[in-house]
Amino acid sequence: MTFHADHAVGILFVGIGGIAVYLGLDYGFGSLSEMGPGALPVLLGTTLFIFGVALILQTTMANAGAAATALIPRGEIRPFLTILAALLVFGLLIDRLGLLPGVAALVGIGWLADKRGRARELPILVLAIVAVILGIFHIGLGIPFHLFDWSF
Amino acid sequence: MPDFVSSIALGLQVAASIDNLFYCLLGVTLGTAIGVLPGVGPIITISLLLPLTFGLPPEGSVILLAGIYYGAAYGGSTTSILLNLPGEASSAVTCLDGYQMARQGRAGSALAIAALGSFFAGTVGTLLIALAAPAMASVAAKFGSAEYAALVFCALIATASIAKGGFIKGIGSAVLGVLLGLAGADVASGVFRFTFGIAELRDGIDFAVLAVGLFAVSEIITTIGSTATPELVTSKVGRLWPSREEFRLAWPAALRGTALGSFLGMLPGAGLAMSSFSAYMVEKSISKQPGRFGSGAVEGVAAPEAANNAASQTAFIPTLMLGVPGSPVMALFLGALLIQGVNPGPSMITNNPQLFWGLVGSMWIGNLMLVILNLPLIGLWVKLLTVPYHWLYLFVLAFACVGVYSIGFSSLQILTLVIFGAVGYLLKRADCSLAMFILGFVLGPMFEENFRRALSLSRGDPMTFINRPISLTFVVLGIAILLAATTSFVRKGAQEAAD
Repeated sequence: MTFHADHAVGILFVGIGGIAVYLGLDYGFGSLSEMGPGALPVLLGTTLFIFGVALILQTTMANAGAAATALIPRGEIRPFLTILAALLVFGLLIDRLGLLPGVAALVGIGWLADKRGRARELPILVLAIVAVILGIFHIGLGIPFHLFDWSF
Repeated sequence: MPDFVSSIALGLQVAASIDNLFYCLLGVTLGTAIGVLPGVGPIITISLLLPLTFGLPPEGSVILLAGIYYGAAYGGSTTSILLNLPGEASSAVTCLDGYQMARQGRAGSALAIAALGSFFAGTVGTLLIALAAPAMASVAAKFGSAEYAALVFCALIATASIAKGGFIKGIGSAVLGVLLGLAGADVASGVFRFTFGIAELRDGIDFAVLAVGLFAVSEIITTIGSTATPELVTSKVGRLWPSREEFRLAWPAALRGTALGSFLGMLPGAGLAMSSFSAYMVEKSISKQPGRFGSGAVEGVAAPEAANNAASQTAFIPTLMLGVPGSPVMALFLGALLIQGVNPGPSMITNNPQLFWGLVGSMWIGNLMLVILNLPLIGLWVKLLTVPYHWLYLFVLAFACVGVYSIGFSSLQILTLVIFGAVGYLLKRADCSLAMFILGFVLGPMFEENFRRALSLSRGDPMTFINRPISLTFVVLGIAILLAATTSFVRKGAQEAAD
C-alpha cells in the first residue's frame, strides 16, 4: 500500500471524529427530546469517522500501486515556513516593541518567502508598507496602536 | 405596490447619504481593482476587511462588502478581454471570445458589451432582490426549527456534491467546520465545549481571524512562486460603442445570461463561475453558427458577463432572507452581519428596513458607478497588473496581521491566525474544500440550535422532520443528492480500482 494525501485526510477525519465522539459523550448526550451539549458532537463525530473510513478505503482501492504523493509540494515548503514564521515574529514583537518594529519584521521575514524579491527593493517596500498601514489604521481609522514600545 | 415604491425610495435615500455613497464607491473601486488582480479575490479582500467593519455602522459595512463582491464580478472581465488573463474564475470564460474580439481590434466594443450587459443584469438582479426577497421572507416566516435544520442539511449536501475534491471530502470539511463552530460555551447548558481549558476559547473562535487565516494566509503561500508577472501586450481599445450588428446579437444573449445567472445565483454552491460557464455553453448550443464561438462571438462575452453579475446579486436573497449562504463569500457576508449584531432571516426586512433596503438601493447605485467608472479608467486597471505579486503579498500580509491584531489587541489572535493559516494551507493542498469548511462553521451553530429545538418540540420524535411538508421536501432532496453523489463516487472508485 502506498501513502496518498487522501490517506492523511481520512486519518484526520477518523481522528477528529473519534475525539469529538469521546468528548461529546463526556459533555453528555442527553436524550432525543432533551439533547445535551454533547449530542451534536457525538452525531457529527460519528459521521466524520464513517466518512474518514470510507475515504481511506476508497483511496486505497483507487491508488493501489500508484506512487506516493507529497502533501506539500517542494516549491511551497519555503513560503509555508517563512510566512508562518513572519506572522509568529510579528505576534511576539507587537506587544513588546510596538506596531512599527512588528510590521517591519513581518515584511522583512515575509520577503524571504518569494525568491524573486530583490534585496535593494526591501527597504523601500518596508517604508511603503509601514506608511500605508499607518495611514489606514492609525490615522484613517484612529486605532490607538503603540507605535513604539519597550516592555520586556 | 405603493409599499414597494416607498421601500425602494427608502433604500435609495439611505444609500444616497454621503457616508454610504462613499462606502459604496470605495467598495466597487476596491472590487474592480481586486477583480483585475490575479491572486487577490473577493474572498481574501472581504476577510481582510472583516476586522475593520467592527467600527463601521451596519449599513456602511454591508454596503462596502457587497460593493467589493459585485465589483469583482465586474472587474474580472477587463483583463480577460484585454490580456487573456482572468482576474477571477468567474471571468475565465470571457477570455474565450473577449480576447479574440480584442485581437481583431474590437476590444472597445467587447468592453462596452461586458459593461452594459453587466449593468443590465445588475439592475435586474437588484429588482429581483427587491421583489423576491419579501416574498421569500413571508414563506420563510412560516419555517419552524425542523424546516431550518432540514434546509441547512440539504444546502450543505447540495454544496458538497459539487465541491472541489469530491463529495466525501466536501462533507468531511463541512463537518470539521461545524465542530469548530460549536467550540465555546453551549447556549443551552453553558457547558464549555472543545476549549481544552483555554479561557480565550470560551467565546468560540473569532470568525474574522478564522477567515483571514483560512483564505488570505493560505492563498499567499500557494500563490507565491506560481504567478508570473504578466507581460503587458495590450491591444488597442478601439472605439467604445458596439456596432449595430453586435448590439443586435448581444442583447438577447445578455437577456438569457441574466435569466440563467439570476436563477443559479440563488442555488447553494452554484456560484459565479458556474453561472458564467453555463451561460456560455447555452449560447454556444443554441447558436445557429456555433463555429463563431472562440473566434470573437459577441454573445460569448455578453451572456457570461451578464450571468455572473446577475448571480452575484441574487446570491444575496437566500443569505439575507433565510440566513443560509450558498457560497464562501456569502458566508463571510453573513459573518459580517452577525458581527454587527444583525440577524439575517425573514424578520430582517421588518426589523432592519434601513439596512435591507439601503443595501438594495446601494447595489443599483453601485452598478451605475461601475459602468460610469470602469470604461474611462481601463488604462488604470491595466496598469495595476504591473504590480508584481512579490510586492503585493507583503501588503496583504501586513494588512492581515494588523487588522487581526486590532480586533482584540492580543497576540493570541496572531497565534490563532498562524494556526488557521497552516490548517487552511494543508486542507487546501489535500484538496479539501475551504468553502465547505467555512459554510459549516457559519451554519453549524444555527443547525444545532434548530435541530435540538425541533426534537425537543416533538418530544424526541425524529418523525418531525418527515411529517412537515417543507421539511420533508428538504430532507428528500438532500438524501436524493446524497445518494446520487455517493453512488457516482462508488462507481468512480470501482472504475479507478479496475483501471
